[in-house]
Amino acid sequence: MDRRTLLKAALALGLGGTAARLLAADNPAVSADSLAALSGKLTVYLGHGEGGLYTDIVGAIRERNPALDLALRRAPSSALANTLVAEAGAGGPRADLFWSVDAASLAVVNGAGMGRRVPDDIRGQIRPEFRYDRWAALSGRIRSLPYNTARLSPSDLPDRIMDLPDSDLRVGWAPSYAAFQAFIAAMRLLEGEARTRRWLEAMKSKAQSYAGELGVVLATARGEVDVGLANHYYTLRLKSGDPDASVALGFTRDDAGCLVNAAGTALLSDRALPADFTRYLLTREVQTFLAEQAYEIPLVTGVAPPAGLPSMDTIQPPELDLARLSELKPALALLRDTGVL
Amino acid sequence: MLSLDGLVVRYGDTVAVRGIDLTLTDNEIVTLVGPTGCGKTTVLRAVAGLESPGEGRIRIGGLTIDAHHPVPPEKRRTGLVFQDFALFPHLDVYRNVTFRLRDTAPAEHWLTVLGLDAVRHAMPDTLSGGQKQRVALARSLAHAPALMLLDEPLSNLDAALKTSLRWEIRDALKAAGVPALWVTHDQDEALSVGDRVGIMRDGRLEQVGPPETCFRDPASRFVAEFLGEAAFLPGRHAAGRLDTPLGRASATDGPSLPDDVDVLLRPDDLTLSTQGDHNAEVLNGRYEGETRLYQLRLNSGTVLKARVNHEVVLAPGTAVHTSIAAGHPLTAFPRQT
Amino acid sequence: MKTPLSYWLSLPVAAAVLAPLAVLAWLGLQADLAFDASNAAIVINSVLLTVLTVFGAILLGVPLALATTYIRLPGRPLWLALLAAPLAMPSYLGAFAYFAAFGPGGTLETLTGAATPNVRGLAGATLVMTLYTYPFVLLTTRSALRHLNPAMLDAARTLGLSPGRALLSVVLPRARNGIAAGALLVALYTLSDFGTPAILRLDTFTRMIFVEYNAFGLDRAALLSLQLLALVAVILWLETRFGAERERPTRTATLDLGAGWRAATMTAGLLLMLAALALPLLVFGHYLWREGLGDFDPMLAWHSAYAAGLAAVAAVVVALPVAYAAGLGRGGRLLERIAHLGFGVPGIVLATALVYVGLQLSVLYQTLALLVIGYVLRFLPLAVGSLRTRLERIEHHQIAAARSLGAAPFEAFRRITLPLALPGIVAGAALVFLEAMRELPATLLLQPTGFETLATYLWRVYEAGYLGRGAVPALLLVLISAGALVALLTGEERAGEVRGA
Repeated sequence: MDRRTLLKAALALGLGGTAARLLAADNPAVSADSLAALSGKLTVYLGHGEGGLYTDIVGAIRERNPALDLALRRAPSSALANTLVAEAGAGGPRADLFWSVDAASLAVVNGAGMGRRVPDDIRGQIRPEFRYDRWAALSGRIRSLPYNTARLSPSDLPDRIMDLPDSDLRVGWAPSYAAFQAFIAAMRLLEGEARTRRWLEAMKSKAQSYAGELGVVLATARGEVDVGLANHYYTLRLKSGDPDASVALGFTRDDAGCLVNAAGTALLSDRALPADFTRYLLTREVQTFLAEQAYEIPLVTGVAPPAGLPSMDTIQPPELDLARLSELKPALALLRDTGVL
Repeated sequence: MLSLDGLVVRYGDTVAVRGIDLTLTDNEIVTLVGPTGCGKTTVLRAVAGLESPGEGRIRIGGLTIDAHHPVPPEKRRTGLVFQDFALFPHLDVYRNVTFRLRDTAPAEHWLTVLGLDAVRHAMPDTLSGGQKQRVALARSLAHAPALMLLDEPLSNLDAALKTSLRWEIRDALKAAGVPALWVTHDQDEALSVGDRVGIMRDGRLEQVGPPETCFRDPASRFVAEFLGEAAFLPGRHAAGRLDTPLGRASATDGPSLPDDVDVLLRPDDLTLSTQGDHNAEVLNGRYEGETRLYQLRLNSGTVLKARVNHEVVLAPGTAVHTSIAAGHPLTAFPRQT
Repeated sequence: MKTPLSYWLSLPVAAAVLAPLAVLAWLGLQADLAFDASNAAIVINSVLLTVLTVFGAILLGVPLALATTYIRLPGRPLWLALLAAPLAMPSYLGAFAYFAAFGPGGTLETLTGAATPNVRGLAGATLVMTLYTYPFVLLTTRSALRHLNPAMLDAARTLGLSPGRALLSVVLPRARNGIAAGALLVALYTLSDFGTPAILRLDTFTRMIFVEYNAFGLDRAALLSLQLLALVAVILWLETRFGAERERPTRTATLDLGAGWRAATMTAGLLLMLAALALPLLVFGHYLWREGLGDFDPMLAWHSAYAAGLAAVAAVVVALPVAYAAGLGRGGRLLERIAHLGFGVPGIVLATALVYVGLQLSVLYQTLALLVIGYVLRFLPLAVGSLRTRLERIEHHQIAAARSLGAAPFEAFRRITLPLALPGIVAGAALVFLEAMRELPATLLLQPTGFETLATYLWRVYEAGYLGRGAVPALLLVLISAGALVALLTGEERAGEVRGA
């Protein structure tokens, strides 16, 4: 990153300090009001739309920046990652920014050498454990054990994900789901290949497969299974539409079962605009919106986590470099070998 | 006018038409008749431009067409009338008849002449068979063809309608003053509407000529049998005269005949009587309205047919006398062994 | 023999279908997938689902075709429209409705308190696929029945057969071409449908292709697609075993089977409508009532209709020479078979292949044109099928007559072939429209950037768990599709009226 960009970024953020100060500290989230208006043409590939919510964010950014000519392409993260790889082989990506809810998709794109270095001021705004070189983490989602409240109490849940096969609970899972595959990749990194294989083999007999994790949560709520394996927000969203649904969130401790994964952006062109757009996504307003409306975990300091999610202090996610989750292939091989996928 | 010069048409390896020469002049109507598969329809399709000639030439008006100089159907000015009428089902009668006309006067003329005024706005599928064929004819004639081509135009119609429409179509063609090639498998139709008749067999024209000539003086046993009831009676030929067990007659083409011949006898060449010298026995009889047709077995074993007035009623087994009564010369063929 | 013009026009179409398949083969060659037990299970599941669905669709479609053709039902056109209406419901919406309605805690239990079993797996997928594909068989069989010579039926009855026996032994065998045509569509549709097996949890080719694709196993997805294509080829070959026979129709026969049969037919029809239409509408209505309208942008409906409309027009234009060529001989038949392959390639795979093709022709990449091309390649067989049955009924003599009256080939085509083929054109366009409206995976990849449709919106909200927001677009999708269905049925009815004179 050159000094001019840094300076510009610093000015855009409305902060008087030096670049050095920016790099050093955790900065509380800034307000969108302090950012300079965006202008010019920007093409964003948005993997997974999260209902109308990301549309609302994009709409708000558009409204605030009338000179911004924003073209948005939505499809599953993996489809967009595959598309970007194909594009890279034929003259370079057609997008300036890849905004994906799935870290593995970002890793695939970066594996093809597409992601540019994230400017240090942006990295500096993100919580330290989520700072990466070639993508900017925007919001977090935590692996959870949604359970049926009519059948179970929180104490019936195992403390450790590796103990789940020993329980007599009926489990719902969605092995074809990207979030689940990332979870297995994390387990493999944390527990090792052999234990993960044994876990999968033991679980296979007692787990019911679903197409997606929304299906897992719905099935848990209706009592088809006792407990599910799913990202946390499906439960919170289901409860927002149907507060009486018999499902609640449970968590394991310090293992892959409560892994915090992140959505983020990869900058695909050297222009300033994709980075500036990412800065908008890290503002207090956007992060608050993500927390309150999409039930996602903000990754900047100074914004409260979503309602319904236990305080982040009570959850003990494992220490894991999310970039390593791009090592998806061995995890998929495990899933195929054990016949789970 | 139309002339065919050594026309050959092939379908892949099969030869459907094996060299045909034929010329039509002015407003002449020529009927092409023959059994199924003889190539008569193929000749018509080749003239219309629906098949291309393999060898030979087709001349229509001023156009000369051969394998190297194809002319598409729409440039030939031929009026084509089909067995299944081929009316355009989505157009009413009037729009069928005026299909490509700028000046609709000829359409009005033919609608009136063919008695179609009342149905001019009817859709084709509401018409009777006879009406459909009149519409098809009117449509072709209204487009002022240089040549009319009719492909079994009456074979989808009732027997009663066939006869009357036969005359109606012939009159219309004559009134239009165009030559016409009319294909049929019905020898009565061929003989009654054609100024000349062409009899086809196996891709070749066996004979072309006025109906009377073809019927009375057929060029081959095949033509003789195809055009009507025919029997062959062994006899002898000497100097233009034919000598048979049933009497004598002069020969149509004497000098070329050998001594031993088979004489062609049509049912109306014979008389029949219960009187006199019994030389035959009645096998069976058929009532035909104005006439009766009897099948006879001569004492020599030859089987013949004789047509007599309907008042002559004979039971099977009746012994009769029969003899040649024809006043005209008879045709004979070299004896077949 | 000169090569017909339609062959020359069909060749690029066949090439366009084969180009993405070549990309697929290239991608698949890079895979290291061995044929194993799970692969075998996929083949077995796919074949079982297809066979059972075809069987189910024939079981429902043929009797209903007989009933709507021969029995004097009160309000017959209305019945036909109702019975064909499940075509307007994308099968994935049906599958979702069944998934959500049945089982513990499902909509039915919530609303009535009565426990219901789950609908899932092979049985569930067969049930749902049958409910939404039988109209294919109903329509093609009915169209075949309407062109049968009713004298046969009369002859059979004078020979002492009861009406039922006469239908079974004389009429049905003659309608087998129509039944086979419908069964072909059902089989191809079932094999290439992704949503239903995904939602009802059956590991079929499409679902596993999707899983591999999402796990960044593009090569494996391509290889599985090639296996699927082999299955499609087998089905296409089987279909050619049914030789075409033509009959000259005169009038449509009617059977008076008495009030008992009429009542039974109507009861069965009503039950079917309850299962196929009322239930999903109930589920979506329930979600709508529970969660409200959301922020739905009506422009999406226009996008859907616009892209599907363009695809419908383009498909019939492209289908005309192919359908025409199919009637001319072996070469034409082959070209037509090739055109059918696209229907058997899952949308996501075809779209990925088209992304590669599109990147080579960058003027097309991410344009509406490429999306429309994707739709056309995928749904061309629907247009070709409708057109072919119509073109086959046009008498060659009618064209010959027009030519001899002085019309050049193009004029004859424009003034005779085209108007006579119009009902087939309308029906084909309507079918393509229906399918393009609901198409999802290919749309996601090929849509111009920023161009969202009802189907992609539905996917987006379903994916994110906002089921209530899906209710309005789902109902709109069904409503617009119903419009296309009306056009389709009107075309069918007209096809019955205009016959060879």
